[in-house]
Amino acid sequence: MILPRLASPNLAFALVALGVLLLLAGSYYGLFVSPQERYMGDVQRIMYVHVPSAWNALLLFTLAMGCALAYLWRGGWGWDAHHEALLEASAVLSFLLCVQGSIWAKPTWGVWWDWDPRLTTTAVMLLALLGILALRSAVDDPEKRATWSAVATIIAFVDVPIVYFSVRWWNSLHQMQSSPETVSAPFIVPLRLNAFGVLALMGGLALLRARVAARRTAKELGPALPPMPAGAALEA
Amino acid sequence: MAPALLLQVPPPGIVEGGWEYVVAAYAITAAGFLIYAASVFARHRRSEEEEK
Amino acid sequence: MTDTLRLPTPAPRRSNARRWLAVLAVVVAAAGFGLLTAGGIGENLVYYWGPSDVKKAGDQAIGATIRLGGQVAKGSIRQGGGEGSLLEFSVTDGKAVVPVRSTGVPPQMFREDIGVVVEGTMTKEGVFECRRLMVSHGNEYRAPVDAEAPDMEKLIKSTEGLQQAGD
Repeated sequence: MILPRLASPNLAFALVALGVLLLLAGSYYGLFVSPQERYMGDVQRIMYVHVPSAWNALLLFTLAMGCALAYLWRGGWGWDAHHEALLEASAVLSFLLCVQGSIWAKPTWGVWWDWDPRLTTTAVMLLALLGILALRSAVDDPEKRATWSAVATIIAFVDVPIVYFSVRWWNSLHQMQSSPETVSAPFIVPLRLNAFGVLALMGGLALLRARVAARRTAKELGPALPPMPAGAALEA
Repeated sequence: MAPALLLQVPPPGIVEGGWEYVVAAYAITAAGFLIYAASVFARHRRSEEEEK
Repeated sequence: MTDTLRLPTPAPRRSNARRWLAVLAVVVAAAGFGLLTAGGIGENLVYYWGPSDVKKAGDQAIGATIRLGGQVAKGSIRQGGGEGSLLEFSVTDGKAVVPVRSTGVPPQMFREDIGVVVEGTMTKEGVFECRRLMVSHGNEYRAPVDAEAPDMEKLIKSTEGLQQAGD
């Protein structure tokens, strides 16, 4: 996928449809086919929405950072449009991530929330994304908006590896990342289905959202000057 | 408070039930996706119509 | 697949100023990351103390609100039934043991050998008075079928933070 160019709406719609199908299949499997976890029982099924949200929130933030970097380095409004779209998608996922985690924490950890390193850095990520989106909506000049928010995204991106490694670097309430060795096979199927489902759904929506951003920018910049006919400059 | 009243059988540590948490998590996730998708679709349609 | 939407033109020119901003942003980000990880901030960020840390702190731990993290010692759980009743257990990191006094019904995951983080304070008697009890489980998710022989080494590893606290 080449992000400086906009995707056709049909591609976006197809991705959204694919995402919905994968999510329906994965959630059905996760809710009704997967066995209970030996200690967590049925509550463990929240993993199949929580972990895909986490992966994709971090992935889309990373892609947004790539677009921000590409905008600053190469220019091109397509990068800026996708930067905006991916930020928004990542913010939606980060928000859902915090809510799902909170609902999962209550019956397992015994609390809705605690300021442990993983939860704190994730909350920082959500606030950073909302802050950059607020910055973008507050700046009217397209060039300044694109440039400033790109710088902000690159700096805020520092939090992404910190979120990921927080459970390894510091002691925390949140457990470490699981791996296929620490997760029984029947749990992995719905996890993967939903992971790709969220990616396709939010990816498709981001492509569509980028078109909205690009069109708005086009309007703000005004109509492009018509190409000058040869020799016209001489007569003027 | 006498220690004799305290049970010494260790708890099994297994979560019983809790489907209400599972339903809440999935419902909020589905609602979040639906609302965001509807908002993106609406904004996209509006911007396509403005073009014409 | 007709697509009438063209990218806005003119695309912003490649500008050296913007490229410098990109370099600057990356440098600031890298410096921030380096400060956080290599610098003192990371070392000083402590979410909970292990039993050894609490023992080492001695009188300093008395009266101050702290978090104590570790594993519930085998055979240490004593509980009454119902709300408001006494719950006693010990938290260990394999080296030191701190007795904990709490009240009420613990989370359902609470059992011997599971990780816990308790918030409260040390009393003069050397008992940790717990006001908030949190269960911290490992990163293992197992179907009941292959649960017969829990691998103790992996179980210990899975509560990663506990080793660091003990170090």
